[in-house]
Amino acid sequence: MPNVAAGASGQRATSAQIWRRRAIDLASVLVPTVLFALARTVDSNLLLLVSIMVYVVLAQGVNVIYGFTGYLPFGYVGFFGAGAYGAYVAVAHLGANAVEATALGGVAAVLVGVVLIPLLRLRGAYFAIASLAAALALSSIVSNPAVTSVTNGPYGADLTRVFSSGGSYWTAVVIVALAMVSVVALRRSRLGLLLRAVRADQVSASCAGVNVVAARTGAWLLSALLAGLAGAVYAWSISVFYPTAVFDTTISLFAIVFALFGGVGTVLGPVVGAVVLYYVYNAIGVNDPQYFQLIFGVVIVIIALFLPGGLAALALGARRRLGARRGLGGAQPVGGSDVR
Amino acid sequence: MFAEQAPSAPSAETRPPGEAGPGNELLVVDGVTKLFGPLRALDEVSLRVNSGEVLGLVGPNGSGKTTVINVISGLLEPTSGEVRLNGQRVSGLAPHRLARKGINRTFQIPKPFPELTVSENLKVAVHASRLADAEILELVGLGGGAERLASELTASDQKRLDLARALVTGPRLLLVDELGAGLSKSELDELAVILRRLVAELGITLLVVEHLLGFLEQVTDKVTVLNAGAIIFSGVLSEALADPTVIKVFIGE
Amino acid sequence: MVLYALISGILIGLFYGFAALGLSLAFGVLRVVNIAHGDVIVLGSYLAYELSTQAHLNPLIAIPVAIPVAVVIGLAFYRLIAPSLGRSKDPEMLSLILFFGVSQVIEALATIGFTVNQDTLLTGPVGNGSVQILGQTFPNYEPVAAAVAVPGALLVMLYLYRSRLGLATRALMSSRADALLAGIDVGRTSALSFGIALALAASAGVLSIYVNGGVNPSQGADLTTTAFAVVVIGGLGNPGGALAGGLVFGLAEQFAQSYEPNWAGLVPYALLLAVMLAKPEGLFGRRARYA
Repeated sequence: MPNVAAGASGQRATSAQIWRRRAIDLASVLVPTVLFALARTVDSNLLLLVSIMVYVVLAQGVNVIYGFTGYLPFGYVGFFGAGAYGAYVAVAHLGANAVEATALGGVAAVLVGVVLIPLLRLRGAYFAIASLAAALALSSIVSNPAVTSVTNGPYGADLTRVFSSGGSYWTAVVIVALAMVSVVALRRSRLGLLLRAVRADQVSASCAGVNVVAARTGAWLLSALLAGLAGAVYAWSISVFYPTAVFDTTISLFAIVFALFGGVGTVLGPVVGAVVLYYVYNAIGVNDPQYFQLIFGVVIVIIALFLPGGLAALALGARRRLGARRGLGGAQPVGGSDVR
Repeated sequence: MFAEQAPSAPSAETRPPGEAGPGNELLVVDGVTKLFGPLRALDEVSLRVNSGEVLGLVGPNGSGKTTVINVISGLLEPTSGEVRLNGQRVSGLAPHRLARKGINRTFQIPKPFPELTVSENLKVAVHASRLADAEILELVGLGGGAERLASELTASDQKRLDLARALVTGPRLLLVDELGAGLSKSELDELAVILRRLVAELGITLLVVEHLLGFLEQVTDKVTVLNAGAIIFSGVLSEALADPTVIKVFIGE
Repeated sequence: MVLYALISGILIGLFYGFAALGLSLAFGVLRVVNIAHGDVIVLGSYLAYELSTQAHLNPLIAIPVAIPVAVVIGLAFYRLIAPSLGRSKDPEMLSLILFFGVSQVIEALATIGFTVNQDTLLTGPVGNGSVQILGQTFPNYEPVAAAVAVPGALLVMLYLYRSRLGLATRALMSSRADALLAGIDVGRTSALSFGIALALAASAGVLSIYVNGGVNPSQGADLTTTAFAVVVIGGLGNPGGALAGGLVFGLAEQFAQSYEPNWAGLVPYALLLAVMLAKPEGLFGRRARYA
């Protein structure tokens, strides 16, 4: 893409600004990754840590598809389940080791994403519900007794042969790093710019030469890959699971709410959202899920009515006010700024 | 994949301008009919635009001018008939493909990406012009405003940005939809100068939909008059204004 | 078996159509996607359950009780959310997220009030006994559900096509801007439509406790998906379309259960996806919905 580099705007960013931006990007990837890598020294409950990391990755996946394209995937869990069962099939039928199986879980989810590309023709509520229907259909196929020879149908999948709590933990850390890199790269890349343009005005973007379908498909498949990897590593860490567990629509719900709570379209918002809310869930949700659900529902209503930008918008608002007080002016544009 | 390379066909800018002539047809609209349900928006419309030429397309409201542009730019598919660019059939292609083949357009109501800066707006476009983005901004009179948000621009500057974004794709044929609407006399004069420079310096062929005849006059004297989806006159602007059919259409019975 | 599936499909299909009417109305008039529609149906079921078990009344009495309550709640709630919807750049997406939250709240409250267990009404005139139609035996509730659904849908149609408010509602469905220009009180008409939509959902809930074999708090999401499928099949914002969509849905489900019981669970989703992708305006509608 030589033209992109050449497409200077006349006012080029200074090299100090460029280095500052690179440092922020690097920190955005490294800080969460290192914190999760060190977390095991503080909290010995590895399954809990893996679950949090899984939700961090899922929230970032929702961020990629909803934050950058506006497609709200109620059926996001379909990719997660596809990843979990992809890993199971890889281990049970292909003799893969756990790391290979995790990668193949990601591939399985991408394949499901490819099959579901036609859904991107729909928009708004139609897309949301259609993706949910697709996930439920996939769940119904995977758990059907007729496919017992492949997925073990409704009788559950067993990965105890490759169980390794340390292995799954470190793999989850790597997947978190991958998710962070994906979102940072998307924000900085031409694809990210094109997706913002498509979101703003599809007709204009198309007339400007942007292949709208290809750009959206890129975000869709990336988000499928992240969910597939998350599903696979989750399957590995719990090692025995049933279709109802990995196709539970609550997983979509959590991922969407975590991302919205933290702030979609930002790099760190979904991470903060996932960590905070999952800890709340772990504290009260496991024993009294209905009370957690109540809090959850109220949080969603509040976000929808009063805080469409999530926590990140609050933080940015505070930073702006601070900036204004220091006389720096609040002129930083929302769209082009480093919202985090 | 997302930022495909510029089209391999030579852009207008690489060829000398003003090669106009009967054997040098850039755009051919051949018997295009467009139906919206029972409504016949375009009825067997045929147009020819030579390379380096400026053709004005005029007609009363609802006569189908914008529909012609929408069909040529790929936003609408013709019900029948076809559009050819340099002899190659292009109707039915998506707008982003046409942009890469050298057809681009502006909108009557400009549609820049409001949350992006001016320079980001240009970066979205597939770059095939030999001019750098900064030069294009200078050309349309937006030099120095590259880092402003598109939503902060005045209506007139949004039109300039819309034009600039189309120019980035290095069009051979530029479809200009009601550029003059809602602008002041001095802004109109400036834009007319810009359009003339596009033709003279970049060799871009223009199809200009306009209802402000005073503005159109500054750009071309060659017009096609459309009424109720059909062409009723093709020729010189001054003759059109003397033509009884045209007068009847514009002034009424 | 063909005859059984046919009759059962029609009876249950009429119920599905009725259960989807409110969703169709809310979307058609307000462009609001009520993800909590299924949860309101669940609340209707619980009302019937309580009236029957606590007050020992015929559960169908829940319908006239539910209607005014739902209309009042709907009016108030719409007034509450209208300013936010009006401010939003994308009210449809906002409503989707907002009602997603509302649906969580209702489900949580229902769980707190009624536990996660399935409650059934297997006694009484509706839940118990069977009826012979054309030599086939059907549980009582199937014809009862159809007998409530058809006049219910007719009332909605009378309202829409024979009343002044209904005319205003239809004007609003076709163009909000034109309705405003025509001097229609858009706020009041919208709020009333939302109230009616909720009343329809709650009324359907009284039947749902039978048709779906009971009620539990987590049924809402499935009911919303089913209602959405029915509305999509029939075409949005068109009550006749919703009934027709319900019939298609009911017949497909009943035939699948009779002939391919293992895969019957897939039918609603497959049908929904097939219609959305192949005929996005619905089998009986004319609204485009492409991106």
